[in-house]
Amino acid sequence: MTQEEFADRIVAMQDTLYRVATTILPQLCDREDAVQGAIEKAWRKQRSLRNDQAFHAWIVRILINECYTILRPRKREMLSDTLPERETAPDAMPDVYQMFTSLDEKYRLPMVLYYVEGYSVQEAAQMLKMPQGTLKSRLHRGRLLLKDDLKEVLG
Amino acid sequence: MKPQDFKDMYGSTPDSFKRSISNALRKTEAEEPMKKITMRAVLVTALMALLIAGVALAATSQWKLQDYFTQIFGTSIPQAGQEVLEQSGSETYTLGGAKFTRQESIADGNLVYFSTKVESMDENVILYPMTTGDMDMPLPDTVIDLYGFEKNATILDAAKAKKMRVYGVSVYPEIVDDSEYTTEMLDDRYQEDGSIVMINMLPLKTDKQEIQMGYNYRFTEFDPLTGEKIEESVVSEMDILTLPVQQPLAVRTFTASDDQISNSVAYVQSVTLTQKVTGVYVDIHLMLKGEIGADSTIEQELYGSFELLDDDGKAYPVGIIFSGGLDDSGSPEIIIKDMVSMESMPDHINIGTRETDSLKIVETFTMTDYTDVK
Repeated sequence: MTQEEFADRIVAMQDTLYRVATTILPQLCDREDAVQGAIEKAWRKQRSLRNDQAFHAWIVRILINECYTILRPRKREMLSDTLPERETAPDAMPDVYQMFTSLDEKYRLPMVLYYVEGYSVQEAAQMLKMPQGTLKSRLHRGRLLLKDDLKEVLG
Repeated sequence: MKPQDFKDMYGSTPDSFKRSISNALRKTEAEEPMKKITMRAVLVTALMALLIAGVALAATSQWKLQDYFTQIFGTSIPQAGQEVLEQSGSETYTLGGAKFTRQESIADGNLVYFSTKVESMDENVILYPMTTGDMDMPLPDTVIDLYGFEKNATILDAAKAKKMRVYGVSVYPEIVDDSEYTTEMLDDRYQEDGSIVMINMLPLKTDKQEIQMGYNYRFTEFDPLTGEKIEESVVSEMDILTLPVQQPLAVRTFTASDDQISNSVAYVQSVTLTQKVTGVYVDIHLMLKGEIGADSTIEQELYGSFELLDDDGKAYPVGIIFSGGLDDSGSPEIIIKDMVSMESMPDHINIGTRETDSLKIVETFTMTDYTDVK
């Protein structure tokens, strides 16, 4: 893959990258760091991608890793002092967003990948490195938790 | 509510996020992808250094891993590890206009550590660390003072002002025959003479006696007027080396009775200390008390809420935090893994439990019941 092709594919999925990073990281500056780190790593390691068609899933997996790399020590450092408020885009839907982000991350991320980004169970399970059964149960549990407000969307 | 509404809850992607993508893509223009050696994704690690922005670093004439541990992590590599590092030898490569000296390398079964010094072979050159540097960021004071650049000058500002050449340099270690990419930790420091010491650490989970590593060196000259790479200058080289894996010196598991050491969500089952030449890896095995619900505070309550303390009640400086977490298997058993600086294996350990709001240690428990696995 040439640098130009790589860049085109990344730009084409920038909204997905934003939503995935936003699902994990509360602060915009951290999301920006994460996506930069992910792109640089992906470019350097692109030859470890054996199946070109798995490019999307592969980039998202790298981004998730980058997000956790940023998040985990920070969580530990802050402990429960005060987690920063989640920054949202000006045209975001704050009520829905707040309701969704109140879900535990272990439900949130599978739901974003499956319902919002449209990845298959198999792809999402690969990205999250979990068995498909676990992913399905988290989707199910997440749906239950949100059922009153989102059943039209997810049902 | 329609699916599109659900997607739209995030709003549109901010321009600053798009710019970050553009910046990262611009950086990739200057680098070739790595040769085909596949890598392993093992764990998520983090550099405390990244959290200590602006920390004042003492100058040392020859920066090495021990300096990194001391100044960035606040820990130190034990004597045994220092001896291994001293004997790890140095290998020098000249590539383009730069000399790369791999000063130290050590694999301890959890991580592989490298330090590499890079010097320019030519006069009137400023080095640019391609992996971690940013041409748009102000140069560190070390370089500003050395060359008499304007305060807050970027590499290109400085190179233009002083008519200097810009040599981009980078090194990447890889584990040969691993199957996925890895999350490695990178950092670098300009030295007082304008050279750069690069620190690379990457996860390695193995019980092998030795591993094969690929060590990639890359040199790229940049046009100081445009910041563009000079295509014909790009040279890269890979060195294959075999590293012995330092085996554990001792493994000791302290056990606690159920619920003896607990907070509101989990209790400590056992604590395993694995002494390596590089330090002591601490695995705190926790058991969750109930099912994990949709309570987003559980992770906060777990991370840092059980802390290994010295006999004065102070937390050990944590060198490296590994991932633990709730999101892999759904198992109620959680392991929190850290690496701390400890010279020898203790015959007792103290575990403090923190109050999550005040961060104060509310109780300290001494564990004396242990079994030596090795």
